[in-house]
Amino acid sequence: MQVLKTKINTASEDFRVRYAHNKGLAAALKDKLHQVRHVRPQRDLDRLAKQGKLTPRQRIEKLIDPGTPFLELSSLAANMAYNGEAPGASVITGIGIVSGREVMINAGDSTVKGGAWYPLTVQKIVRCLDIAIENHLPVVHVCDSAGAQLQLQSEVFPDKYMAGRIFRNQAVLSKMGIKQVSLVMGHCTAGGAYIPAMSDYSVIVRGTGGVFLGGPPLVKAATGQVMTADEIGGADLHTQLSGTVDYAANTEDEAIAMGREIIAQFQDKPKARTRIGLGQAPLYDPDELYGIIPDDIKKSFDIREVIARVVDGSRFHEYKPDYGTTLVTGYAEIWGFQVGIIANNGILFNDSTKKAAHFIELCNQNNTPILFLQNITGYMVGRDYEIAGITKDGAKMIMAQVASHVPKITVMCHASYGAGNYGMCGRAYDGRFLFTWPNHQIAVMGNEQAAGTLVDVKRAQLERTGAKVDQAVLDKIRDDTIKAFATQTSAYYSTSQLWDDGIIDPTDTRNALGIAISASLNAPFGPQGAGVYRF
Amino acid sequence: MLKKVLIANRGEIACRVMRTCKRLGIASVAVYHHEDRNAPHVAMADEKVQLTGQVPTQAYLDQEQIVAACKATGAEAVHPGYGFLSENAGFAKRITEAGITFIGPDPEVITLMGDKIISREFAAKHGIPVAPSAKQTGTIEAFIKEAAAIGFPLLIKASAGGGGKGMKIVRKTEELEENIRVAASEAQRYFSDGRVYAERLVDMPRHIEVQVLGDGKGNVVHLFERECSIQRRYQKVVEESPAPNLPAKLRDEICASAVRLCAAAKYKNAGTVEFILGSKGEYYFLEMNTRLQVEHPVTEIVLGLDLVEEQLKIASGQGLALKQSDIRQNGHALEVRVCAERPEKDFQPATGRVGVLRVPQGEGVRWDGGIREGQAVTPAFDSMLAKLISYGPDRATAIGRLAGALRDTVLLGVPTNIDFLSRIMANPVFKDGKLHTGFIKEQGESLMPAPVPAATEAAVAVAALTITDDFQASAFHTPEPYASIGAWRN
Amino acid sequence: MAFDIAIDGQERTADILARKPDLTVSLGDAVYPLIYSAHAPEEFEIQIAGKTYKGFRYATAEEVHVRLDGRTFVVELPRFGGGHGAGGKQDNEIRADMPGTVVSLHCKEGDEVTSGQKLLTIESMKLQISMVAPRDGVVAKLPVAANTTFERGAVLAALKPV
Repeated sequence: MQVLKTKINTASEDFRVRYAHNKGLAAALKDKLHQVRHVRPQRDLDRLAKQGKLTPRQRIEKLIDPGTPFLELSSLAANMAYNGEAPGASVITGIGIVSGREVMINAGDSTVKGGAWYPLTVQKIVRCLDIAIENHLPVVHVCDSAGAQLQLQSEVFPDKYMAGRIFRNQAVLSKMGIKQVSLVMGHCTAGGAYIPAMSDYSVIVRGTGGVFLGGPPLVKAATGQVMTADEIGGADLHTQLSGTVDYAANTEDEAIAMGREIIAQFQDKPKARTRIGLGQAPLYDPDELYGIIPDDIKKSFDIREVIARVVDGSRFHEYKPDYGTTLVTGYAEIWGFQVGIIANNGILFNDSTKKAAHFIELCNQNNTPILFLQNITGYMVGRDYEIAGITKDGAKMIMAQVASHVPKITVMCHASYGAGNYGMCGRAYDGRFLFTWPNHQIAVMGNEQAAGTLVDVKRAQLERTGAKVDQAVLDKIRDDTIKAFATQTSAYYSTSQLWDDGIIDPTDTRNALGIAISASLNAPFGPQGAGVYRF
Repeated sequence: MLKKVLIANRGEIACRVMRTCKRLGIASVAVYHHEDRNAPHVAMADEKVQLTGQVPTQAYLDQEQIVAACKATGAEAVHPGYGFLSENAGFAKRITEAGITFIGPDPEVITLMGDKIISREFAAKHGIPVAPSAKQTGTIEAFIKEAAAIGFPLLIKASAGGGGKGMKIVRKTEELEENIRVAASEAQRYFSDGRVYAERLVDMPRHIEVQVLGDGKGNVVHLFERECSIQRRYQKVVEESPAPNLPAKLRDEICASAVRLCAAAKYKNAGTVEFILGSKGEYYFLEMNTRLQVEHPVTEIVLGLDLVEEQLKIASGQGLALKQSDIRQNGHALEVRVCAERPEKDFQPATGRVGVLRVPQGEGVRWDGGIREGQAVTPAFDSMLAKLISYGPDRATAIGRLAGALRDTVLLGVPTNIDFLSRIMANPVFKDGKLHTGFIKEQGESLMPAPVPAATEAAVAVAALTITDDFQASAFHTPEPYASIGAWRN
Repeated sequence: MAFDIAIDGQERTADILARKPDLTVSLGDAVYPLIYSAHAPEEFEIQIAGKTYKGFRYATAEEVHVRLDGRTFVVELPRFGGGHGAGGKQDNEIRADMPGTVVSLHCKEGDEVTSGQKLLTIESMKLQISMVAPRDGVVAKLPVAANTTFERGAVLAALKPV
């Protein structure tokens, strides 16, 4: 494979401006992550300490193998919801190594409203279990939750992808032979009680752990009995009498050690594909990504410069380099794993679209996971392109992409507009993981195009009815649309709504992808085949 | 010569006796308790007989079972080793009456030497120096007066006792009465004999003992002295021969005393006469052990003799082959007792399992052991696991070799005093040969472990942790790319 | 996670910081890149800063004994109570899991007993079962005499602290 040659002049003014802009975005991200992960009212931390409990992050640090990475997912979920009162949607999820095994961790964040479940909490847990199902990852549930946020129960409880889906997913995992361990560090009340109950193995901490369908207040309300949580569903009751929980631990440390030992018993399964390379670092410093990514959504850049700072040894085998040049395709390795990269380098035309569909087929033929690097403003529009079949070519690309049996992973590198989002494996397309850069913007179309479209529609409507065209009304429509778009197109809104698996600093892309690809290869590849292509 | 000998003992001494038997073409019979079924002495013997007993030590003390074992196997003689029945006159008598040879003195001599008071009187009568003393003949009150008259410091001991049990040191008149009463009650408890006696305590005393051989007809030779001054809890830890810094004239005098005593007693067998030596050269008879001593190897090495062989020859009626003038000391030998104990916790006996055993080898090094890898060390028996002996042309060489051998010894799974012994070997006062029985207490601080270099401690931590599944998995089985990515957080 | 250990009674925290290029372990505040190898379970060889530490080790139920540089170190490892009564539950009463008959008593009230010592033998469903002391203690009660039947849940023995 050829080493990509950079054309970036790091001494240029353009580089400097872009670098300053993106470094600033990264710093803002870091600051925001720190806020949602670590900044809590002192009284909440004191309450935990008084109960002899660790914080959920301390629990995770003790649970995972020392000196190993933890890929936290959707840390900024709910950052623009509930007036910001549920940082991280009061749950921490992520992939780490426990006793040498890749596992998914689902840890209730008891430092946020006692770990209460908000609608986005449930969505985040369901997503984490979906990831476990799709990637065959064992799950460790670290349970410590006050239960559903009752004021929001209609958004937590009834629908298909709400709370019930958590336990449904647990049953599915168990049936698939993907193990789950629950470490009950606090209360698991009502529906939450099913998390340890639906786990294959469970450990409970004596004194602080409790599992019950109805906690003390509900029992009192329903039966008049006044009992402590420990009496209703404590460690001794569940490990000695009910058998609902398997092991009792005296301390959280002990529970974690037991959990680690349980996981150490799990049989290792071979991966669908093993590493072929040694995982050599890129030749170019990933820090230069800050100076490559534009400081304006409308500015373009050469995606190969990004590839050169993500893949092993900056080596890239480019497929069909001279055809459909607004899309870059080719093979590379990331942390030793082979991937097929499909990366936007401009608008999708007929040739680049067909090239994408063809390369997706090649990756499937070669059992190579596909990495989509999205920076797409859309498929080309206009009569000439429709005649050339741009819509049916886009349909081919979607068909090939959806029919893929190899894992797909997407990184939102800059813009994601319109149907281009679909073809390039947007959120709706069952990619195993989707990560977003902080500069990313997403919408069905650009905010100016949208505002322009809406203003044009209004003007046409007014003209049709013979009314006077009031420029002020049109300007307001324009401003409101741009404002709404500005908010809703941002990466932070995206991640708040769980449209991705987290915002990552561009320089973290390689590590995040290494873990994501490694995780994705735990599941065997599905059957080959596709639907009807429109030729 | 004897054809078959039963060894009524276990551990290193049983193995030691069997080695000589094998060399001389004498068949050996081991006796053992179920607990010892896999012990080396059982494996080494030509024949073995199991003894039963609720408590393992009881089995080895069961005279009738041992006699029956002799009959069953046709053993002509019994070697009692040390400890157990080795100084039990009743046993010697019982064996002899059964028509079996007891490898040891006549029962009467055992009785004579077995009683501290009677043996002292016997020694005094034959002109052997004894420490000024008083024995209890009447009431305790009268005895207290007599004891006070000897002068302080005083040592109060049980008449029937040994091994330091019931011993008290008294330095002031005011402390005398209470100590005597406590010693008497302890004596009653340990030995079912509440009589005590008092003698002048020699401060900073050395323990010098003389190895003798007698044929039972009054012919006795001495095999020179051993110094056993390094003791803890009144038990020997380091023994050596010759005694360092002991003038030849004084040494000869002490040896002559020992021979005189044994000749008077018509002593038969190998035996040891123990003396206390004061800093002014005064020495007193302490007691006589009518058996092979734990520390006999240092004598063997320095003289080039096999004491068990001599014992067997005497027992088989071949008499004393050795002439005093033929016996010469050559070089220097040291022995340390490797015990399952915790020196840092007042030498508390320890138990466990001999998990890893690597016996030291090398020039001038001898390991007399009775343990094997995998063997359990239980509280049922004595805590001594083995003896490590070194030899050199001079004391410094012998110490150096012993220090090296201790360093090379690997005995893991049960706490031992090996490192403590190493520290004694490294102690400058010990190296100078300035010994007395209070050495360990006096050198207490300097015998503590040295601080550990940080990197060594890290190696120890890793060596220990890598034995665990959790650390192994964490350190070596982390899948890629996780191992390479390291402690990254997004 | 980190590993809380004690070396000759001195508490230390060990941690793995990295595995590449060399395994890097911290002990307290100090950091040691090292190379580890073992030719046999009881032997080890560790290289730290160009020096080779070669020795032996043996794990007992409670601790690991390490022989290095002519010195034996006792290392206590992090442990958690697994198995029965993992939480160190202090049960004073030994109860019958099923109805049966007491065949024989092996102790009497007031006896001092040690953990694991047989207290009594019961028979149920043609099976003789020894009831053992769950911990050290003094026998406070033996409510069911020999050759007497009992019901499920009956107290067969009770212990009190020594």
